[in-house]
Amino acid sequence: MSTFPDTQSLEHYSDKDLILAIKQGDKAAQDYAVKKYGHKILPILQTLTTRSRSLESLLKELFSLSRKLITGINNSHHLKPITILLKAADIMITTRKQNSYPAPVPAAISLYFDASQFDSTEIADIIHLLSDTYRIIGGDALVIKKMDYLDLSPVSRS
Amino acid sequence: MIDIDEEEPKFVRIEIEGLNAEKWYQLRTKFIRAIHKTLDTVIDHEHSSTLRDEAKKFTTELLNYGKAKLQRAGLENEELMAQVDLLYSQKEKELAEARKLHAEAEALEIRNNIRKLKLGIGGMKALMIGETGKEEILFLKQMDHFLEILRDFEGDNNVRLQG
Repeated sequence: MSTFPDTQSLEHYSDKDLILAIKQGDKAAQDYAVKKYGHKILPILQTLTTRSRSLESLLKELFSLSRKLITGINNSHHLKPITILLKAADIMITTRKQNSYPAPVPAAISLYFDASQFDSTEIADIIHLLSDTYRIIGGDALVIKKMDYLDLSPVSRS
Repeated sequence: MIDIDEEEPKFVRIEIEGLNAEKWYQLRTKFIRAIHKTLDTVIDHEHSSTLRDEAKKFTTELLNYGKAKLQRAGLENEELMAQVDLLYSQKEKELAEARKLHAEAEALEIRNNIRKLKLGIGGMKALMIGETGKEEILFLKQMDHFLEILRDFEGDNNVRLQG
């Protein structure tokens, strides 16, 4: 006893259901399609059937690869190349991000000492104590970036 | 003290910043606030208006004038800067070593250092100038001497302007 529908019931099929029935190998459905759409439908039906088989084959391969990937994840040494690739990609993204958005350079703080009133020990003491203040608020240490002299004598006298 | 002709006022300018740039970026504003707080506690309140108003009025201009004709460091000046650098490095090194040995006493040490900072610059005058993000601090011992420099500078500029 055939499980396929008879020609009469095929008349009520939508095109989608008809194609599905043909893909499943329903000879009655194929004959009905030829009767309904003419012989030009045959190559289309053949293509659909071939593609359907190709898709099935690809899906089987994909499932097989998925299983291998799961096995690879379980054995971490198989993941090493993937990890390296991910790290490289991360570095590339980070570098690009840094290059695109450079961090603003925070300004140094200038300290001025009247040279006629301070000696080197006093100046070093003050910077050291400022460095301590910086540490108290969570900083690491202060560094001397630059030192120079400002001549404040009037132009007329120099 | 540095042997410098009183007739030719000179200021040592030292630029400081945090060791770690990222931390410095994060903490700079907080650091300025901490300095402000400390300086506020040591400023001579009796003369604070003079210190703030009169000095601030011309200091930025004076320093800009000095920056425009930065002097090439002479042998004497180089010696002072090398000494400051060496002494500061020594102090930082000593402190780091002391911290390693007495980590538990760090909190006490910090409190002592705050006291030292207050006492250390208690006899001095410190003035914060400059816009936000470009702060500069001026350290002085004799306010009168600095005001004289400012008056000379102002007078000299007026003469030049009139001339």
